[in-house]
Formats: sequence, structure tokens, C-alpha cells
Amino acid sequence: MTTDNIQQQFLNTIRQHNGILHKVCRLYCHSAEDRQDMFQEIVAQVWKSFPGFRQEAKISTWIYRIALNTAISYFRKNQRKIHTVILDTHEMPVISEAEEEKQKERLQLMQQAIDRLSDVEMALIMLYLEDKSYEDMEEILGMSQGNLRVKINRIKEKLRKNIALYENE
Amino acid sequence: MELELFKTIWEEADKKVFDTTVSGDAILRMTKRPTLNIVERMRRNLRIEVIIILVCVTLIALLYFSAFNRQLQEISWMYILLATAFLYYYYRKNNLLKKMQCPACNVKSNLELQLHTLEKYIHLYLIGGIILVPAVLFSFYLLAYYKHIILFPFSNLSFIAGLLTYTAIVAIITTVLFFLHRWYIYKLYGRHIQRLKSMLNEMSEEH
Repeated sequence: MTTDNIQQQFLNTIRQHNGILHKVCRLYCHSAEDRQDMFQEIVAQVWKSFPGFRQEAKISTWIYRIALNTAISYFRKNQRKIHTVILDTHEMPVISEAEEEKQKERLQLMQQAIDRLSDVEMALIMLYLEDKSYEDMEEILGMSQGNLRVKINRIKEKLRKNIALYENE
Repeated sequence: MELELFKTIWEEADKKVFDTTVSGDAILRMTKRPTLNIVERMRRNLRIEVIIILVCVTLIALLYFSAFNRQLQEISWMYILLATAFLYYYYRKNNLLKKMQCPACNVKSNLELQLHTLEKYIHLYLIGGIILVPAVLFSFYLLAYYKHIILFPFSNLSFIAGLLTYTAIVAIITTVLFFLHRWYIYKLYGRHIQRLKSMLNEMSEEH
């Protein structure tokens, strides 16, 4: 296969799975600058690993692995802050003003609650929110399905508490 | 707020953000920019260290090859020998750093790989770094003894008595440096190791 073909395949893969990369960056980084740096780092890691992709796993599973590995263990971002980072308004779907405001609040609340989780818990909840099956989660994270079930229930409980805490504030 | 609502919010928030497509050129540029990857930065620092050592050793070796009426050429050879040992040490370190990454592996096995390799790396860093101290000091002792260097501190003692006194001094220096070296290495990597361990514990615990 020629270099041009490999590059084209790589570009198609990135474009097709752009969303996964953005979601991981948004979850693990607060500032736009950090998010951009992490996005570029993930793209670079995908490029480096691209020749080794053997179609044994689903491409999305493979991308999730690279993105989460980069976010969790290779990328040194600025110190994580617990306070909320309000997402840019252009990241919100266009709806009525009142609904938009409500949506914004909900999103803020969700972000606040997730911010209190550990890096591993964040990865788990992200896959849960993405509606991934336990098989896929196991393949991406390497944790047993039994353990995943226990952990997800525990995280849900933790999130409920975090949300209640913020709603009461 | 119910957790199921989280999913809806998550999906809704995604809809618009990811419509924007990045140009192919911009994506390809991203693959070429300097990486922020921790392991890659460690490898970069290692390369800088090797270059500094090679430059210093070359300058010292050249000095002793040409100065002092060429009577201290053995010192140059000793430095070259030590530089060779250093190169082997750095080669091993670099190999371990190369093995430290497997971004396409599942998250847990990647963390295990990192932890295992980093522990090996630290072990090599600690042992390799500290072995060089008595090696250098003893080489200098033998050189000073056989070349009858005037400043040699034990010139009034017999070879055995001088060697024993020197060994005691070397042992003290090596022990002090060992603890300092260990402190420094754990200051550099200790927090990262703890972080890896706690993440692995979190992923392994069943209850």
C-alpha cells in the first residue's frame, strides 16, 4: 500500500471517529487549550499506531483505547481544577432560550458531577454514556465484566450523590 | 436529575460539536508536531543527557591526550571506557522507555506494562547510577597510585593500608550518594508510580 493510501485511510479514520476524540478531550480537559493539545496528541498516537492496526478489534474500540490511554497515562495536562468549566455556547444545540438555559445548567451539573470522579471512573462513565456493551468495555479497558458491573453501579451512586450535592447548593 | 437523563444530555451536547470537520492538512500537521507524551519527553531528555556526556568526555579525553607532555593519556582511556559503560547504560534505559508504551492495548494492560517497565527503569537508574561511583573512584585510585601523582593523599601508606582507607571512604561516599540518588529518582518518578498503582488497584478490586 502506498504512503498516500495509508494517509488517506488514516484521515478517513480520524474524520469518521472525530467524535470519540473530542468526547475524551472534553471529559478529561477543562481548558480549550488543554483540549486542543490532547486532541493533537491523540491524533499523533493514532498515526503512530496506525500501521499496527490488524482489524482484529473494531476500529472504534481501537480508537477508544488509544484515546483513553493517551488521556489517562501519557498526557500531562495542567492541574485539574474541581470548579466547573462552562462549555462554550457553540457546543450547545440550538433550542429555545429558556430550554437552552436549562440545558446549559444540566450540562454544567453533569460536568461538575463527573469532575469529581477519578480518571478510571471517568473512562467507565464515558463508555456507559456512549451506550457501550460490557463486552466492548472489557475490550477497551481490560476489566472483567463482573468488575465493570460493580464499578458502574458504584459510580452511578457516586454521581447521584454528587448531583444531589450540587442541586442543593 | 436522573442518570438516564445524563445520556440524553451527553448525546445532545455532542450533536453540534462534532459537525465541524478538520482539514486533512491540519490533521497531518498534528502528526508531525513535537509530542507532549510523557515517555517521549523522557526519551528526549535521555538523548540530551547522552549528548552532554559525550561532549564532556570527548573534551576531557582530548585534553589528557594532548596536555601534560602526554604522560596522563591513561586518564583519557579511562574516560573513554567510562563513556562506553555510560552508553550501554543509556542504551538499556532507552530500550526500556521504548517498551513502556502500548497505546493500542487495553487500558489496564497498558498501565501494567507502564508500571512494570518503569519499575525496571528505576531499578536500572538506581543501580547503574550508583555502581559508576565506586568504579570511577577506584579507577582514579589505581591510576593515581601507579602514576605516582604528587597530590595522591595516601602516598605515605602501604598499598594495602591505602587501599583499605580509600575503600572505607568510597563506601561512605557511595552510601550517601545512594540515598541521595534514590531520593532524587523517587522525586522524579515516585508520584507517577503511585498514580499508576492506584489506578491499577482501582481497576482490579472486585468489591
